[in-house]
Amino acid sequence: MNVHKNSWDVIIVGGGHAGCEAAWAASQLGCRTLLVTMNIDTIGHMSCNPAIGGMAKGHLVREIDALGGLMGRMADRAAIHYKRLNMSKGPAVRSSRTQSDMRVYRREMQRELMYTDRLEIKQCSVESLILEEVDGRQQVAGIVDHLGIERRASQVVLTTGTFLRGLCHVGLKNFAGGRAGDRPAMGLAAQLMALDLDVGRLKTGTTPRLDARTIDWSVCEPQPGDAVPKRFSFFTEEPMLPQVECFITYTNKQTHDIIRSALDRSPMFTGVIEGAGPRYCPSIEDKIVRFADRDRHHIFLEPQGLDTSEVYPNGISTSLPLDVQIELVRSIPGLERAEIMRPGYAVEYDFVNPIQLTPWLELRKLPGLFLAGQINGTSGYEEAAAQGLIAGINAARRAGRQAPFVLGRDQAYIGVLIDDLTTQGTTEPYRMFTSRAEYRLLLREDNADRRLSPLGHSVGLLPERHLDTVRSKYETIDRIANRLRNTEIGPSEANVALVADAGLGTLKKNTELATLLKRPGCSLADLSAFVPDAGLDQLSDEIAEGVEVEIRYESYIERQREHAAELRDSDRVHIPGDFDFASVPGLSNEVREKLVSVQPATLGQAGRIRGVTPAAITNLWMWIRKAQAQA
Amino acid sequence: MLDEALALFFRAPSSFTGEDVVELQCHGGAATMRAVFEAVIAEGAVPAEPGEFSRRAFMNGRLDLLQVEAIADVIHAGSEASRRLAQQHLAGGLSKAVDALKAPLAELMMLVEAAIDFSLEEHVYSISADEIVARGQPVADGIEALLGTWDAGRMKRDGVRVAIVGRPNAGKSSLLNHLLGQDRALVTEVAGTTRDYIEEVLQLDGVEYRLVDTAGLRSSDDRIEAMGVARAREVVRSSDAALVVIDGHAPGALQEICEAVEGLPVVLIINKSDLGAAVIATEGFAAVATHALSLSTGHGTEALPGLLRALAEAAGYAPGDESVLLTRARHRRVMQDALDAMRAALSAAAADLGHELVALDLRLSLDALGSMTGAVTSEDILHRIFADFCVGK
Repeated sequence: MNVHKNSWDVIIVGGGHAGCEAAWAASQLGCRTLLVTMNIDTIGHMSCNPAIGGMAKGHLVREIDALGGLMGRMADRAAIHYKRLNMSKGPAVRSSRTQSDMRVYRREMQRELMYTDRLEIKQCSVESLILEEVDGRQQVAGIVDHLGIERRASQVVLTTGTFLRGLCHVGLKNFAGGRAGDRPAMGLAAQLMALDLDVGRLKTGTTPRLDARTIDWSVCEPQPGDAVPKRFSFFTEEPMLPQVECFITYTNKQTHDIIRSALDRSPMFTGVIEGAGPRYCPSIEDKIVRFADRDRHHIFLEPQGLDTSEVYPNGISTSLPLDVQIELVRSIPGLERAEIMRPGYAVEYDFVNPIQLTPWLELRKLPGLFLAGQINGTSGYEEAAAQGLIAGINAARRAGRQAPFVLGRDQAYIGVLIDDLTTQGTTEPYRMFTSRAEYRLLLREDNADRRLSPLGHSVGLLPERHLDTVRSKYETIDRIANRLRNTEIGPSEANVALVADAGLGTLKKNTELATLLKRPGCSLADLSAFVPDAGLDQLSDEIAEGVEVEIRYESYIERQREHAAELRDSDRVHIPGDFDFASVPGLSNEVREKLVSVQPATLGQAGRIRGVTPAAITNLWMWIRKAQAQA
Repeated sequence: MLDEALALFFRAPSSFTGEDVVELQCHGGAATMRAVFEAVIAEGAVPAEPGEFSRRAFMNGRLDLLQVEAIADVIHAGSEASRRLAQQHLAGGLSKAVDALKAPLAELMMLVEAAIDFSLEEHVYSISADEIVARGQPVADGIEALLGTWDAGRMKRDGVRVAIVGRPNAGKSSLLNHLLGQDRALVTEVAGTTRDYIEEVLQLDGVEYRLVDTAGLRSSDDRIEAMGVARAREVVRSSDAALVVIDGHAPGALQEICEAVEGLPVVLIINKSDLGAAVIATEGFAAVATHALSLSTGHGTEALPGLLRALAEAAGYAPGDESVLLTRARHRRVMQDALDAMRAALSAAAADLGHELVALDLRLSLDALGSMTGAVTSEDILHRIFADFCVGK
């Protein structure tokens, strides 16, 4: 390890959700790590909505936690409202979401990082990267800040969020800024452009923030959180803040008329904004134009914390001028007298097309430079944190000359996320959805620890004691599941009565308890009378859920495992880093161009590139084998 | 100077292969052809491998997989009907039929995925199990109907396999010779897969028949002969139809034959009508037609082409609607996978097993159809959700 002054193993640029996880991971893996940020006070800041998790995002948070990352624990500390989503559906597609006290989240994240060994935090604005030639190849060697001070490291992780050439829009007025109140990063953006990277422009937006004291809560529908909160972290029972409610209100025809009449002052509809925005998170003006037949849209009024009067009206993200924002807000029931504390706005920023990255998030063109978060075209705190964790791990592994750490599509949503980004690229802000995961039944929130904790421990992120917790949890789950599979009950008078009493229908022949558990409405507790010594009615919710999922889904899970094994086979065929895709004969120009631009690391990844045909893969495979035979 | 020839230049990407192509049209004559051939090779040209042009066309995106397979069929087309069928595939007939099933399936997939990922959205409705079944059943039926064309499609491509069955000396060989004699120019001999029978190809009115002459079938206590009969039965079972030849003068016991052709469409040929008719018990046969003739005098043989055609049609050979026929084993397998997955999805929905489990099999079915004419990705599904529903808070 390098111990020179002004020199680190890994430098993280940016203190958002990607940067925090990257800094944590790199330092936990033993690296001397430096996190630089334009403003130490905004480390861990939630720039948009005050919430963590949500559909498929909850999965990401649980995976981050299972690997040993921070987000789950910080979200637990800051949570003021828990809601598990899709409870009417199967366990694979249930996701957790919390409202956060955003100031507590930020404070807890800062506290955690400030007292992390081997991690230093410095405030400065990075103007450029230091590039050096090593063995005839350009590599990253550190950063230069706005005062011209050099800080050196062979591994740099860029997590610039919306700051690269950030441009904020409120109506037809715009101002340079990474987000409202912060300066943009211009020098770094110019340097990335000069590196001849494929850089594009994206847009995202946020809502005006309202003063809670000016809202008539009595006309809004209350939305209570879950009575029994399901915490994010598998391992630590973090202290819990008092829990609060959210509220719902609705837009109406008048709101829509106000918006329509102001479209000529919308930066989106007048062409001032060039970047592509997320279609799954449209602005209110976009919703009203594209879905003109809808006469109302719901708005969730979410508190931003316990000791702030700011309220986040989720559903009216807008970049209309402030006078229109005021008028449209006040057309909504409950908000007639609402005061806007901060205007809503849109922000445009540069992103680097992620097909230029390896599956471990290193920029192929510039070894040692890792990118994570919105710079890779994603949106969302959870997507950013997931990438930050993987980039941090891999920066540390590169520093220690270890092989890259890559999660497969059958192992984690994080694997799906990064494979999608690095294989397909993106043209709009990328958000995770469960439908993106082809092995959805394997990748559940409940088993994220089983899937990932052994890996988190083996890379050095997750402490041994946490892995022990996981092992003993699944020993119990497997033992009970096997007991149910191996215990048969016969149609004796007593058994028939017990089955009928539990509302499970009839019992005509010898039946395994596991088969009974698959009947609709059957829970583990219903079966406890048949195996009194197993204590089925005293299991923790976590264990009970684990057993029920294992048994109820087993035939489907088995099928998905078989399919996943096929995927593994093609992902095991590694393509050498210097393989010349252009030299493979018999490929169409389109396929050749795609292979050259993505530079897939495995045959499996090559096959997932959109437009690459099975015949092309067969051809490619033959040439890889030929190249390997000659080597 | 080797020849005065016409040279045609097809500029990429508008040529058949999508590459620059020069076509030389030379005068006939093997010596001239060889000389020109040697000259271009000396200049650096290489001879094409079998299928090279199609392969390049496919690699360059000029043809999809179905079209490449259809070209192989055109090249190998043995009969007029199979040539027409192959040409229609080339024009995308099968692709259209598959796409017509893929579209409603993708729509259903979209609704199920929307119900999972966007269940909290006020403007997305949660599709019910009943609606899944109502929308999915026609797709399953459509796949099944397409799959049902496999036999007809295969018969067009490979010919209608007709077993000629009868007791020894009933006149099977005479019948075969007679049929082949009608169109001798098109007769080829195909080696049988076992020594026990031979297969002859007959082209008649645009239909290709594979006539299989089997060993005589009769009841026997002899163990070795019984094994031979069992093998003949296997041959009959793999046929599409049977011509049963009976000696009208001395029919003998027909029980064995009756059992052997059970389940197949049958035409009964009562031979040797010139020698006078015995009483023959034909009620055990599910005969399409029964016809008396004399192969030695030729009396009554003019009806044979019509009888063969009737037999072929009874076996499922369909002259109409040729564009939507499955003709390749790969297509059949893929469509069977699509159907199996579709049925699993429908029964999961009917049992109210949850959207995520229904979605798994819908995805497998959609992937199977996608392997015929192009994949529908999860990104495509999300795209449709965003286009059709107002989502996002």
